[in-house]
Parts: sequence; structure tokens; C-alpha cells
Amino acid sequence: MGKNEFKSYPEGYQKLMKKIVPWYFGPMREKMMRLLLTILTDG
Amino acid sequence: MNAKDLKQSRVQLFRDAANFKRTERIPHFANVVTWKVFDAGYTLDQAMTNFDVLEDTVVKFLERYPVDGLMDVGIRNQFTVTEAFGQGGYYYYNEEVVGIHDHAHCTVDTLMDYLDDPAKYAWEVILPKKYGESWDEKGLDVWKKTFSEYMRYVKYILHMSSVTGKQYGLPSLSPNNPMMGAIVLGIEELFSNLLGIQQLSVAMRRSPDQIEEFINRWDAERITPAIEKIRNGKGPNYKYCFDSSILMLAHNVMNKKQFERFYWPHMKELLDAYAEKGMNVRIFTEGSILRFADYFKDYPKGTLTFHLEQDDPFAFREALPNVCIMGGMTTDLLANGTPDECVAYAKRLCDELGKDGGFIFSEGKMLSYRNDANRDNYKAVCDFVSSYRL
Repeated sequence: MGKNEFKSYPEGYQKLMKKIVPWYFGPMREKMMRLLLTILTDG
Repeated sequence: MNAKDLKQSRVQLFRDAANFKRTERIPHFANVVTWKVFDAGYTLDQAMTNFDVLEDTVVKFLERYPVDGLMDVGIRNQFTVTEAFGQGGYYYYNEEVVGIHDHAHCTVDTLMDYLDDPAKYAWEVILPKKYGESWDEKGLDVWKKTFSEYMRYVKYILHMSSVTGKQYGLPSLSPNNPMMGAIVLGIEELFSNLLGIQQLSVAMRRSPDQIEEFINRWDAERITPAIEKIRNGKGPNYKYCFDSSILMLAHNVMNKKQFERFYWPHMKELLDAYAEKGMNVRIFTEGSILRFADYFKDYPKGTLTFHLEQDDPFAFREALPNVCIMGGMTTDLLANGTPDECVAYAKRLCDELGKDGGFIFSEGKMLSYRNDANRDNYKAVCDFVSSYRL
């Protein structure tokens, strides 16, 4: 297992978003990340 | 008829029924979820994370049962995404059951923290609490794998939309695409995720002002913009069977006084906007809604369709003759009756509730478990409803 280097907010969150959603920009990137977050929190 | 024309004719049929226009036949929106997995010869653990199997269950269902709509086209559960992230999800499954553990993201005292910044709250509170010590081990490889599964899931949704729409002429229920902003009232979010059933029930009595403050802010930030969008929009969108699909569940733990304070003002504002634009709204009233019938009696025919779960449809028609009924068929009969008994009851529903429009045949309860229906009974009912002429 790796280490969660993204635990801080908003720095870690933003850094992770740029790493895993690289091909979307601006509001679309944010929206994709929010939907993933919703699945992980509610699902 | 090709699939495109078939899809459009089905949308028209649902819209006509919702608008209380006489139709040649009663449309059938199958309220079938995981029952079709068993019916196709699988167990749930074989299907839930295998998109090929899930697609097979949908195709087999649509090949066998002549329905006009299907509640779940195999895309409801996101286990591939949550499992890629690791153990700890609220939803679970085994061979026979998919379930969800009651959970609460907040306490009454942290509700405003959540509203201040939901992403921050999820990041700093919900996810660390939910995943415990393993949260510290969610390295980049886990996140990449999870995001990759998420994209695969999105592609699968688009694929299934194409399979059901372009091959089988099946319309979508409503444009409640989360990317477009699904409408969830604050009270329902409290019930389902933020406080859970137990905490909300207690909080409505002990901390009503805090609950009201949360709901007012949630709806000002989320529902008011949606209402503006509805009012400034073009009205009905005939690409879908309904213009909106809303879930009501939290009312089941409320008395009338609580309903009037926490639920109705926000619901009314939303429904009034749909009514002004002549739009069709489906409300899935889980549990029972009959004791709150009076609140809905002034809406014009065509605005509301209530998908009933436990209420008697004939009593409901008496109470609210202005509201289209969706549902009626009981799993009790589908599971334990004979094909003749099931068809006789289906005929009664169509004749008594749908003669002048205002009725969409469906199952009250989502068919989920193996024994929710006997397949011969279900086949007999589907064949009857699709061929019966009023």
C-alpha cells in the first residue's frame, strides 16, 4: 500500500485532482472529482 | 417500427397517461432492479462487479418481457468504484442481497460545517472516519485505480443507454442526470446521508431550529437555483418519460406538524414551478403518502405522478383524483399468486384506474430479491398489459 500524501485540504485535494483528472480543466475537472467524491462518501 | 420511433411512441404514451389523456393501452414501466439478475440465472455476487453479466441480465429481461420502460438498466450500483478504493463501503452484497448500512456523515452540530464546504468536510471528516486507518494508505496508485474504475463505470452507463435506447427503443425515465444536477431536497439528504434515520428523528424533536436552518440554507443554495432554471426553461422535454423524478422517503418518520415545517414549503415551491411550466413530475413515494394527500390536491391534472409503494391505489385515486398513479402491482401477488390471479388483478388496475388516462402500470416495490416475483406470473402480467386494449 502507498501513503496518502493528499490528506491536507485544499492543497492535497487539489494536487490529487490534477494528478488523476489530468485531461479536464477548470469546472469540468472539479465536477468529475466531486462526483467521484460523492460515490466514495455515500456509496 | 424502428427503435427510435418505438422510443418516441413510448415517451408519448407515458406523457399521455400522465396528462390524463385516454390511451389505446396502458404503458408499463417495469420497477425491476436486481430481480432480473436471478431471473437471468445469476447470483448477485456474480453480477454486481461484472458489466458483461449485468448487460446480459438486462438484455435477457428485455428479450423476455415486453415492457415500455425499465427502472434500472444495470447501472445502479457502483461497486467497481468503491471496491477499487478498498473495504469500507456502506453498500454491501452477497449471493442474494444488496443492502445499505444506515449511516450518518454529520451530527446536528456539524451540519453547517458540511454546508460551508462539502468537499472539505468529505476530505477531512467523512472519508477519514469511513475508511479508518486505511485512509492513511490511500496512495496515488489507489486513487488512479479508483478513478480508472470510475471512468469505466461512466462508459458502461453510456453503453447501456445505447443498448436499451438504440436496440430496444426503451426511453429514459427522466433527465435526472447527476451531471445536470439531480434535485434532492435538504430533508431527504439529512435522512439518507447526513444524519440518518435515527439522528434525524431525534433532531426534529430536540433541535428543530438547527434542522430548519440547515434545510433553509441547503434549499437556498441548491433548490432555488433549480427552480429558477425550471422557470426560465422551455418546459416539458419529450426526450424523457418525465421532466423530473423525485424521491420521497423522509416523510415516513414525520408527523403532520413536522411535515409542514421541514418538508412541504420546500416541496411546494418546487412543484409549483413545474406546474407553472406544464411539466410532468414523477414522485417515488416510498412507504406511504396517503396521510399527506391533502397537500397535493390542488395541482392540476398532468403535473404529478405518484409512484406508490405501499398505498392502496384505489384508495389513493379516491383521495387524489388529480394525480396520475404509477404502480399498483404488488410483489405479494407476483410472488405468491397464480398467473390467472395476477392477470385478473392487472386487468382490474387497468380498467378501474386507467380508462380515462392517469395510470401507468408498474410494480409498487422495486423487484430486488429472488422471491419478489415468480417468473411465470411476471411474464403473464407483462404479456397481458402490453396487449390489452382499453
